[in-house]
This record gives sequence, C-alpha cells and structure tokens, in this order.
Amino acid sequence: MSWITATPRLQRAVEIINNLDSSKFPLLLNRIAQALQAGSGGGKVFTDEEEEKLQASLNLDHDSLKLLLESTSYIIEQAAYHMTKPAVFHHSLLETLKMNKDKAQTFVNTWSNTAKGIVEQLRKKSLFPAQLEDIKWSLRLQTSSSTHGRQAVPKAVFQFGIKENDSVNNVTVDFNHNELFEFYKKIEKIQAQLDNLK
Amino acid sequence: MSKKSPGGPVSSLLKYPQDSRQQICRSLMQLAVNTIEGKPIGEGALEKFSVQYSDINVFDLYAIVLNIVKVIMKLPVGHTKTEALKERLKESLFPEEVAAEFMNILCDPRRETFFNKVCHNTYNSKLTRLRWRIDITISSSILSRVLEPCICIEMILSNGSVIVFELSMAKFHYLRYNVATVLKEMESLQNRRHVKGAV
Repeated sequence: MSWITATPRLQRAVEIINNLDSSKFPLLLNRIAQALQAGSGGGKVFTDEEEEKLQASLNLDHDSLKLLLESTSYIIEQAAYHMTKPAVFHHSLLETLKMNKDKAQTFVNTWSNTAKGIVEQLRKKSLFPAQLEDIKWSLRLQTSSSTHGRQAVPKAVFQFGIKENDSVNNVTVDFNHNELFEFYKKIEKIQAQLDNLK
Repeated sequence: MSKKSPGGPVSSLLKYPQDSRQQICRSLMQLAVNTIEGKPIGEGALEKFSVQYSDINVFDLYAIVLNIVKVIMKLPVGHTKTEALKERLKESLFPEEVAAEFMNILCDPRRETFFNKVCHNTYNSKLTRLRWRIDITISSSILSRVLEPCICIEMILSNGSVIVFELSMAKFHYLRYNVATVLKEMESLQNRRHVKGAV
C-alpha cells in the first residue's frame, strides 16, 4: 500500500505547488515542517494576518492558500504516519502526485531534515487527558514543636503539576523519610519493569 | 486549696500503700501522655480517681504530673542528665517508685516515635496508595508504529482524592531523579544529625 494516494483535491494542491515561486516555497515548507516538529500539529501554522500576507506574496486567493497549506501538512503527516523513506517519498511525489522536480527535491530535503523530529514528536503525543507537567519540591527540617524542645524531623513536600485541559492542577503531597523511601521503591520497581522491556 | 491535702497533693500520696500510689500515678501519666498527644480524653476521667483516692486532690496532682511529663517529653532523646532529673523529682517529694515511673517515660524508646506522631497532621495530603501501569502504544491515528512506553500513575491521597495522570518516559526519568535527589538530601540531613547527636 502506498503511503499517499493522488486524490483530485491533492492533485489540485500539487498544481498550486508546481506554480509557486521556487525561492518562496522552501521557506513556506520549512515553516510548516518546523511547526509539526514543535508539536503544534492540528493547530494553525500561520496567523490570520500572516495568511493574508502569504496570499499577497504567493499571489493566491484565500481558498487556494488554504488548500496549499492543508495539503502540504497532509503530505508530511502521511509521510510521518508511514515513516516513509526519503527515496520512496521522492519517487511518489514525482510519479504519484506529478510534482515538479525542483518542488519534489525541496520536499525531500525538508523531509530528510525533519522526519526524525516529527516522528519523535508524534510518538510522544498522547490521548491521555492528564499529564504530569512539572515537579517541584522542598525539603524541610522540623527543629522543635509544642511538645518537643529539640528535634530534627526532615519532611519533604512534593508538588506535582498535572496538566489537564490546558490548566495545571497542582497536587501537593507530604512525605517523611519512610514514606519517601516507599515512594522511591515503587518508582524503582517501575524502572525495573521498563528495563525488562528492552 | 483543698482541705484534703494540707501538705500538697504529692505528700498526700503517702497516705496510700506503695502499689496504689504507683497505680494512680501511672494512670495520671498515661492520661498526660494522651493529652499531649491530642487524643480525646473521656469525660470525668479525673473524677473517677477522685472518688477512689478521696484523700488526694487528684486535680492538683494531675496538674503537677502533666507539667512534669511535658518537661520530660521535651527533653531531647538520648541527651539527658538523668541524675539531675532524679534529683529534681526527689525534691518534689514524689515517692521513689513514682519517680522511677517518670524516669521510665524518659527512657521509653517509644518517646522518639511519639514525637513523629505529634503535629504529624500536615496541611498537605499524604500518599496513601500508589498504583501504576506501563502502557505501550502500538499504533495511533497519527503514527502507524509508535511502540513508545508510557507510565500511568494513580495516587490515592489521605484526603480521599484520587489523582490519575500519565508520564512520558522523559517525565518519568525526571520524577525518578527528583525523588532520588530528595531522598539523598534527607538521608544526608539525618546523618549530619546523628553526628551532632553523638557529640
């Protein structure tokens, strides 16, 4: 199964790509690839204002620009999904999509440079809503209390920042030495299981 | 001042045989420890003794016992001039066997763990249970072959809340590093404390 199929819509997009200024296209493609690598896939790569400027600069109407941007992202996303090798990628652009030689070469160059980063980024994408985002801690020493003149009880406070629906929920947990040691042992157990996977 | 005890509550103890004296003082000490610990004390806990030991002003005696227990409890563990304390108890006219009971509190190895219990309640929650699982994503809508492990953790806290979250491998290593760091810091803190304690 090929990693890409030449749908009428995609063919139209390739026509637009073929007609683009060869000096401007690499910049556009790079920007899209960078955005995918940074993990902002799904969102818009360009702001409305930037899109307006692009329309003027590339001499395209609104719909054509939209088709161009969406299709360019789509081609890279498909290549990433199938982890397409640059040679296969190049061949399909030329043969299946009938892309011009220079534009296909630009695509191959960009894909060769960014494939690793993009695939890595996609691999890390998770559908799980709550993600551990940040860990803060402080270590305290209780030196005296209402019942005891001199003592030294170390206490650790951990704050786990859990990101859920774009907001971070801070969960604060206290540990004394024993409790922290138990927590540590559990983490080591997970690590041992992860080591077993390799 | 009560008519019952012209010589003060401590000397009126002497009106009772040794084992009764020991008995009541032991009970009062236990009550004092419970009070310090913040345990609920049943209503009429002292009145009960006042009936049994009508020659003693139990309330005054308890006030004295409570103060002494508080002082003893506050002394640092393994750090005390035992003899000095014995002297002071003798001066306070407590019969010898009662003084010995006080000394027992001082030497009780449970005294250390007792402190950890006092004021143990913290504003923040404690971790009461931790469950985990390792998932490996095989494939997804955005990538045909993922094969990336991730860790799912469920924390049940002492306030009853259940927190479930996922960690990427990078975040898991970050967590592991942080916990190990704090544990190490804590242990070096305790070691320093032992060194100081030995001086």
